[in-house]
Amino acid sequence: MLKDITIGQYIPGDSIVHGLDPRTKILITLTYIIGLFLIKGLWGYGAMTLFTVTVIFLSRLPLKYILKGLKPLLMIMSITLLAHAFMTEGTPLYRLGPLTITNEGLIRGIEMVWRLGLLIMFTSLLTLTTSPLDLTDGIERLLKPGKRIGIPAHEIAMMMTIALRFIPTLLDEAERIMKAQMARGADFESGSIFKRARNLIPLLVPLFISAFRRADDLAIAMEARCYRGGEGRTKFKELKVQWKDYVAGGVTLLVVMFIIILT
Amino acid sequence: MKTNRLARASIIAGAYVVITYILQPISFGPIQLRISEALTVLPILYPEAVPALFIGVMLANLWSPLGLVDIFGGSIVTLISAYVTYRLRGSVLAYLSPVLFNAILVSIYLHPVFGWPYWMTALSIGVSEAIVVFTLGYQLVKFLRGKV
Repeated sequence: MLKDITIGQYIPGDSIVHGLDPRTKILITLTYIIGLFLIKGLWGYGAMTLFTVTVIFLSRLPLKYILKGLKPLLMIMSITLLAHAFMTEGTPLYRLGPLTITNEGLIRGIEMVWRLGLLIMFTSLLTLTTSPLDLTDGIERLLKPGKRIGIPAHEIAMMMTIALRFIPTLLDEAERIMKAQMARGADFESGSIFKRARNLIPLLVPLFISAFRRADDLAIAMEARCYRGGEGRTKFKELKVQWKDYVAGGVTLLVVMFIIILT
Repeated sequence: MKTNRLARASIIAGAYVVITYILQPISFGPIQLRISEALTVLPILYPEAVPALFIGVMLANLWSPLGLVDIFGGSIVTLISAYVTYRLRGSVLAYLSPVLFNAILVSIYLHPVFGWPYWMTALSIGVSEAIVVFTLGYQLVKFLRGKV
């Protein structure tokens, strides 16, 4: 059951969005998020929606996948909408016993939910179109200038790569330990919150002990292959910024700035 | 960083992701608990857990519906709280660090996203962190101490 996991949400493809440099995509997403918090009014959100839909269309991903990201948040989104509609002072629209829905509250609630929806759809595009390894590569390169102030860019990227590599192994291990403990009568599924949390100890402690053993083996294997940190290390796949990255970044910056100024 | 520390940190990070993923279905009603947050007290025992948690949270949040906000926001908050836990490892305050930092700092970026009042977001995050850290996290440190 645990084996059918995909790491992150990456869906391979050959669209323009897939082909962009991961760094470009990270920076574009950051620009978008900042923009989203600066724009105001329903027109602004409408324009942002148009931009988002265009990018989704360019990524050639099925809309189904992008909407799927919204599902776990539907509950929280409805609570947010209702809370704003009822709690904001303003012109009353509708009375429900002691509670009143106000005009201002309703608009504010819609704006909040709309913004949240856009945020989720656009940022999940990044993880949907970029493989975790590309993403780590991108993060390493973006952190590189931070080396001067002591940010260990290479180590961070290395740890991310190893962690990703070991996720399937550790999943196997966790499943095996869970089954072994269940055979000994462990109960992971009933009791109060506190009891259930405590019941996880027989899973976590052995998992860590075996994980540490694996880590020590790995360290020996790495040293036997002369691993000596990031200095002078070369790459099989180099990231290259191409003209399309400049175009994509530039267009995003212009569109977001345009929307901010207009609204 | 020495190779064995680096390897350990990487594998703790992997474990954080795995635990976040497999224990997701075990949710406890209206408050969503992230069981893997129990690992935030590991710096009490292992200094390499500080970078490990930073990376673990970053990778685990690749699944987060909030995407980039959570990938960077969550991991930086975890880095701060893990470092403080490490520095205060001798005292009880080490356990409070993840509860306080998550409640105070994560709410800073979650409250504008959801538009909930700041104190409400902070309270709900604080309560769920406290449950996980004080029940599971405390026990985990107790059992792991002296083992590896």
